[in-house]
Amino acid sequence: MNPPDPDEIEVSIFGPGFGEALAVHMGHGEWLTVDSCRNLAAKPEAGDNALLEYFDHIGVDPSQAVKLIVVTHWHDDHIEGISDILRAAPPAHVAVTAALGSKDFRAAISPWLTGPGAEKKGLKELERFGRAIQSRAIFPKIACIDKVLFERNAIVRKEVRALSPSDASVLACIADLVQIPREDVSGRMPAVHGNHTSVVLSVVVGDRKILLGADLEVRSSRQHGWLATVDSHTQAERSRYSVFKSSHHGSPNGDHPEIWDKMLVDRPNVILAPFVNGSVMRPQDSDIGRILSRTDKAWITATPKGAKYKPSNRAVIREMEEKARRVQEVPRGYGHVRLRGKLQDDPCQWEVATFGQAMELRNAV
Amino acid sequence: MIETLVEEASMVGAAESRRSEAPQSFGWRFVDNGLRIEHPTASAASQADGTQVVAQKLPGRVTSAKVRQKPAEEVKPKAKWLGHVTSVSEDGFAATFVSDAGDRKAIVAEFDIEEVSKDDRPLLRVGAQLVWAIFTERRRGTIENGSVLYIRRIPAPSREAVALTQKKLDDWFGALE
Repeated sequence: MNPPDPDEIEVSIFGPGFGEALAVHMGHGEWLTVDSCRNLAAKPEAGDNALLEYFDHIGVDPSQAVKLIVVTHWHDDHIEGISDILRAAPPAHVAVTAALGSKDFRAAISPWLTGPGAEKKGLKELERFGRAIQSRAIFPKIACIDKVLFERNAIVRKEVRALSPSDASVLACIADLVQIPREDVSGRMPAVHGNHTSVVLSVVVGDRKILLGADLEVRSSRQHGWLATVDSHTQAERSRYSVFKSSHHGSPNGDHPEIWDKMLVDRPNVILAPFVNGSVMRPQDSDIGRILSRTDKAWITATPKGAKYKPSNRAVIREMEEKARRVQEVPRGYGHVRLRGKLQDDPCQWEVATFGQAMELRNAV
Repeated sequence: MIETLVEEASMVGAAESRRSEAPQSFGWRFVDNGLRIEHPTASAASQADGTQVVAQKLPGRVTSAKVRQKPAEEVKPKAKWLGHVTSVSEDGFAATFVSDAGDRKAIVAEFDIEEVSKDDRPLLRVGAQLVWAIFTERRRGTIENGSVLYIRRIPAPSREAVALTQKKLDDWFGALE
């Protein structure tokens, strides 16, 4: 694999079935990273951080090249290994969701972070992240609607702007957080509903416009979620995006006709990573159909479908069949979708490459 | 036999874990070629009539748990999964498990509600942590398959420990306010 040329824009998405991370080359050797996940096919001792593994393969030194690290929201499928990226890129700016700045949030999660079993709850990464933040010279930025997180005007204009969360969403998130039970912490920490504070990003390099949808959801109120982002985009009279990282793994609650009609060009390039956890698997066939009704240019990092679990030991098969109604293997296919386009091409032609188990979305049905 | 043994020991463990805030080592684990019950105050001892006492002089309502069958001559672990409940319905539940073998395999399974013991059913809710282990056991020359599925009892952390954690979080992220 070769790195992109200095005049080439790249959008890469990595996904192992449970997890999502993105790397965006903004030209001239400057990179943005969004979230983090692991390559579950790699051996942990060899380094399984999807983004760092990729940078290693293409010969990019993250300590020099990564200029901005964004954590869109603190859910397990977006933050695994994020502290590794912070350590690998000490000079990079870091932007985080507003929730971490909330004292209520910290009070709510403290019991879950304490005591035996805490390491099983996916919260250890928060501790590693906290230590990595503390050791940095540059303090993180809070990402919120219309806040510019990165800007360059030399050679070509580059801008990374947060398009969410809205102020109302941050308040709603804190209201949710205080309701997390603190007495009985014997299970896993419950998810905070709504992905209220997920950070949608606008990446503009010259004429190239990329919309990274994170896991932001649609709410009934226009003050919250995607509709607040759409309104902000419309009011600022910004032009439309030609590349879209589909929101919330293609779920219907992360999609709305106004996103397509007001923010995206006709038939945009769409990329996404699947989400498989428990009996929840996204995108489903209906989600894929919905996306393909808007564009024929869509790619996914791996299949979102599980398969019947087939262990090699017969005793295990027999006992599983006797005990459980149904046993399915969680797909751990790992893939990478890469879009590259020259800055000077008019109109921009995106060259798409797929690696691992990545595929065209139409083939995932 | 093993299911009975673990169920009864779990009951003891639950009674104990509610009483104490200190972290405890409780549960069971596979040892060389057998299954071993672990509890800070429990001991296993075989009696002359073949009954195995797995807990003695425990605080609370349950003072001992007796296994009525003879123990297996040999228990061989075949698979162990650690997971959590993802949904609960009137007659069943679903859970996600990750293999304990370090191979990163993950499965999703659906069970009838009867597959967990009556003592565990009040604990069955989304997020509850589960252990599912499959083994073979040899008894009087016959090899049989067996498995245990139970909910982990995790003692509540002390207030002091929680306050310490919150202080760390405030130190790391307080400046973001």
